[in-house]
Amino acid sequence: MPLDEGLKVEDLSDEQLIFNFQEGDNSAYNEIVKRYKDRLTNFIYRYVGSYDECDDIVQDTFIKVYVSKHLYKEIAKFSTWIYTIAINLAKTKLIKKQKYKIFSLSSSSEEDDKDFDIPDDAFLPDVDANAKFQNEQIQKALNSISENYRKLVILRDVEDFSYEEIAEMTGLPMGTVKSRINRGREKLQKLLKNLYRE
Amino acid sequence: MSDEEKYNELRARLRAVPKVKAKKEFEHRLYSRLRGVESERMGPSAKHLLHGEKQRGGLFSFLRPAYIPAIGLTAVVLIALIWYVAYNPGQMNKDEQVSVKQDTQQQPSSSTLGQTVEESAERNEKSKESPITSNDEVTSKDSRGSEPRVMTKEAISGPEKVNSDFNVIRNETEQPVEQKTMPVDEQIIKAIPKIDAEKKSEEKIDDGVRRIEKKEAPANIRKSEGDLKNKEDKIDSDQNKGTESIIKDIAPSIKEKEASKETSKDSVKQKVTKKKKKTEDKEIKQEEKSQEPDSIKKLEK
Repeated sequence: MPLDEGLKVEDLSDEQLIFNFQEGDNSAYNEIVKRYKDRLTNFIYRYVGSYDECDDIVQDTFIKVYVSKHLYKEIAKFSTWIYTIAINLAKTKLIKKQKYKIFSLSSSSEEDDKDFDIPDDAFLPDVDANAKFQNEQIQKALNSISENYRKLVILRDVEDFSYEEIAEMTGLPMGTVKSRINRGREKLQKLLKNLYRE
Repeated sequence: MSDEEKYNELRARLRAVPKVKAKKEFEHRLYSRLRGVESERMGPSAKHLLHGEKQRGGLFSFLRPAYIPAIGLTAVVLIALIWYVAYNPGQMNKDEQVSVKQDTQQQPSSSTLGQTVEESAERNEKSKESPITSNDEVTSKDSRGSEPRVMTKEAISGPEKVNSDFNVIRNETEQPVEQKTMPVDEQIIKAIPKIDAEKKSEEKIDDGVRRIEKKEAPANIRKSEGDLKNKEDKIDSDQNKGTESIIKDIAPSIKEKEASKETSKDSVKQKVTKKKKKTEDKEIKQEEKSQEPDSIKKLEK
């Protein structure tokens, strides 16, 4: 794709940015980072449930984009490609976390006095206490449902991706995506019934 | 009622959830990590790959590990070929050269022998003219014949004269000894340069050409070999004649020497027998002396 010399980096589409970066324009990469760092952080945080882990995963995602920039082809949207990378990295992280949890529970079953990390809300924007409370409840509910539903519900209802894009990202058939999203929503609604009443 | 409408409230709540932002130092950390990744990529392995890519275009593309056995095999085959081409024809040439050299080395010796025969004939003639007074004179003349000066002068001119009588058939009975050798010498002088030129041309020309010339060569060589054999026979006969005459000349002196040796041996034997007799006499006297005191003692008693 030819470079648009008249346009600023901010005006370029995601696809043009990645093509510019493929041709050696590092400013295009910086722009991609700017555009996607918060979106990815939000999505991964909702998906993983831990801010520190989310930060690492997003960092790894951008490094992977940097290293394997030549792998992107104009078949799919750039957002789909970068989210796919992020989902795969988050998945592996979750699997490792689950393994570690099993190991730690079995090994430290007697250590009931162990201190747990207090969640830090500094990353959240300035919101009132009610909003913070609602945010915590929603996150708890998301974490309690299955990972397969959670991912799809977040992508559809939080990140606003279309069913086609979600199917492309996850590699699942469209019907499976839709049904899983509905099941996830149903479960979430049950969990958040009390929150709705309030 | 569609699914989207069914969960509208939930969807609205999920969308209303505050968006989580990345850390402030996110970009700084990311770029520092990227620098690390870049340095790793440009590290020894990456540099090696880059150099490898550059070198693969050139001569080093043949030095892949997969090609090592093939390269080794080809090298061995090449060495064997070179050895076969260079060494075997060289050996053939050496054989030819050795045969020619042997001929050339034999011929000067035969010429010298022929010259000694000539000299002995001259001396015989002279001796006929001047009668021999004593054996010393004969020996001195013979010794002159073997003097290095005379031999070297003739030997230097000898090989060139005698070498080339390959195609000459001589009648020894009709011609004198000197007349036999002269025309042969002239032919030898003519023939030697031809042989040398052929050898030099063979050495200069490539190996492939050499083989072709060798195939052509045998006809000429066979002729020369036949001539050489004839010549060797003649030289042998000359040698026999020359040795006979030498033996005739030397025989009296040798007989005298043998006689003198025999006389010296007799004298030595006589001396030895005399010494033995003397020792025996002495022993007898000593025994007698030893026996005398006993008899004297007896007499005294």
